[in-house]
Amino acid sequence: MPEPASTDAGKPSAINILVVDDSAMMRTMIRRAAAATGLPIGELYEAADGQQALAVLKEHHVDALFTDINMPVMTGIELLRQIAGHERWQHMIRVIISTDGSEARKSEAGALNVRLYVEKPFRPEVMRDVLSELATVR
Amino acid sequence: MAGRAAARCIVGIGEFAVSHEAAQTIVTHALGSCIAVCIWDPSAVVAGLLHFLLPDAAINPERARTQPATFANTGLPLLFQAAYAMGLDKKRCRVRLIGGAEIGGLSGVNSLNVGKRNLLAARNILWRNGLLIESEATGGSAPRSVALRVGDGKIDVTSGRDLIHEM
Amino acid sequence: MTSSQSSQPFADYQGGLLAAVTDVAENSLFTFADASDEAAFDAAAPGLGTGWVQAQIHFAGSTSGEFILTVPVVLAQRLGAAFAGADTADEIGEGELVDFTGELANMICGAWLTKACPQEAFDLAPPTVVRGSAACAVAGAGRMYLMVEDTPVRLEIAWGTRNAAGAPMEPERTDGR
Repeated sequence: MPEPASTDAGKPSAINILVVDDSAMMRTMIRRAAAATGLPIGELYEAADGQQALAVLKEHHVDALFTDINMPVMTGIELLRQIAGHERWQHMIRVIISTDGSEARKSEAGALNVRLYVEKPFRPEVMRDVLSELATVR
Repeated sequence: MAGRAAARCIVGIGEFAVSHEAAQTIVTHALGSCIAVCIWDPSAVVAGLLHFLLPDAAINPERARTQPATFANTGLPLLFQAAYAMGLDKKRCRVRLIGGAEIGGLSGVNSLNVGKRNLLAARNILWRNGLLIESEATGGSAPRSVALRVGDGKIDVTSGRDLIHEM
Repeated sequence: MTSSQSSQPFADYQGGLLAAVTDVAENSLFTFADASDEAAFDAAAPGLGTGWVQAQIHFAGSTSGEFILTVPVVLAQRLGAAFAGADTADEIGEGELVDFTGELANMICGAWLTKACPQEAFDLAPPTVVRGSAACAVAGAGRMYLMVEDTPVRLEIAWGTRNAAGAPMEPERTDGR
C-alpha cells in the first residue's frame, strides 16, 4: 500500500482525498472547490458508491474520506461500517457530505467515527473550512 | 498611478480602482444594494476594489459599453485584469464582499431583491473563475462605506460614523 | 400500507419545499427562486415542447412518497453550469444534464425532509430521470410551481409507498385535484 509522501519539516503535507457520491456532478463540484482552496491536496480519488470506494481504499493511501449517504449498491453508512475498526484505515478522517441533516443520521455518523458532517446544499467556501480543519488534525 | 499617489483613492458607483501603493487606502461610499468586491494579494501588495450596481450588463448594453464597472459580469473581469497587470497572483488573492443590503425607500427597488441578486451574481462569477470568498459583510438594511488599506489588506466597514465591521 | 400527508411536519409542505428550493438555489446555484402558479407554468410549457427533464425520487421514513421535479432543459443546463463552476451552459452535455437534475432533486428533497423532520432520518432512493414533456408524473399528486431565473419549475409530492413488487402505490389525493 503506498505510503504518504514525506515533506519538509514545517510545511503542511498534501492530503489524499477520496470523494464518494453517486452524482458525478457533485464529485466535480467538490473537486473544483477543493482545488480552489489552494490548500495542499495530493491525489483526489472518486467513487460512485461504497463498493467502489472500498476498492479504491484497498489500492491507495487515503487521508480523508468524503462520503455521501444515499447511494446505490452500498450506502455511505454501510461503507463506514465496513471500514470501522480496521487498523489500516484508523488514520483516515471521515467526513459525511449529505442532504440528510437529521439528528438521527448525525448520531449514527458519530458512532462511526465521523469527524465532520457537511449538509447539502453547501457553498464552495465550506470545502475550504473543511480542508482547513482537516489540516489541523493531521 | 502617475506622480505621488494620494493617501485615499475614492471609488464611485460603477467604478473600480487597483493600487500597489502600500500607504494608500481605497475607499468607497454609499453601498446600499451595491456590492464592493475587495481583492488583495499580501505578497505583491496589490489591492483592488470594484463598486458595482447591478448583476448583469445585458439589461443595459449602452451603459455596459460606457461604464462597464456598473455590472458584476463586466466589472469583475476589468478589476482582475487590472490587478493581474500590477502583479496580483490569483492563487494568493484574498476576496471579500461588502454591501448587498435591501434598502427600503421610495423607489421600490427593494421589491426586486437587488442586493441579494448582486451578491449571488458576484459569488457566481467568482466561483466560475475558481475563486473562493474569504469573508463577507453583506445583507441587512443599512448602507455601508468601505476603506481597504493596500499595505496590510485590512478593511474597515462603516455605516454613518460607526465602525461596524473590521475584516 | 399507505402513508398520509396529514402528519403535522408536512402540514405546510409547500412552504417547506419553497424554503428548500431557496436554500439550494442560493447556496449551490447562485440564483433566486420565487413562488409562482399553475397559470404561469401552463403558459410557458407549450413553448418548450418536449424540452423538459423530470427527476423522481422515492423517500421512505415515517412518511413515504415520491418527490418529482420538472424543469426545462435549458434551465437545468444553466443551473448545472453554475453548480459545477462551468463557464457556459454549453459545457453541460446530456450525461451531465441527467446527473445534475437527479442531484438537484436529491438536494431539494433532502433539504425539505431534514427541515420538516429534523430528528428523523429518511432514506432516499437514487433518482430516476427522464427527458420529455412537462406532463405530470403522478396522478393526484400535490403540486407547487416556482420561478427560477424567470423560468417555470414544478414540484410534485405523491404521498404513499411502494407495493411488494416495488411499484408506486396510488397516492392519496392531498389537494383536492
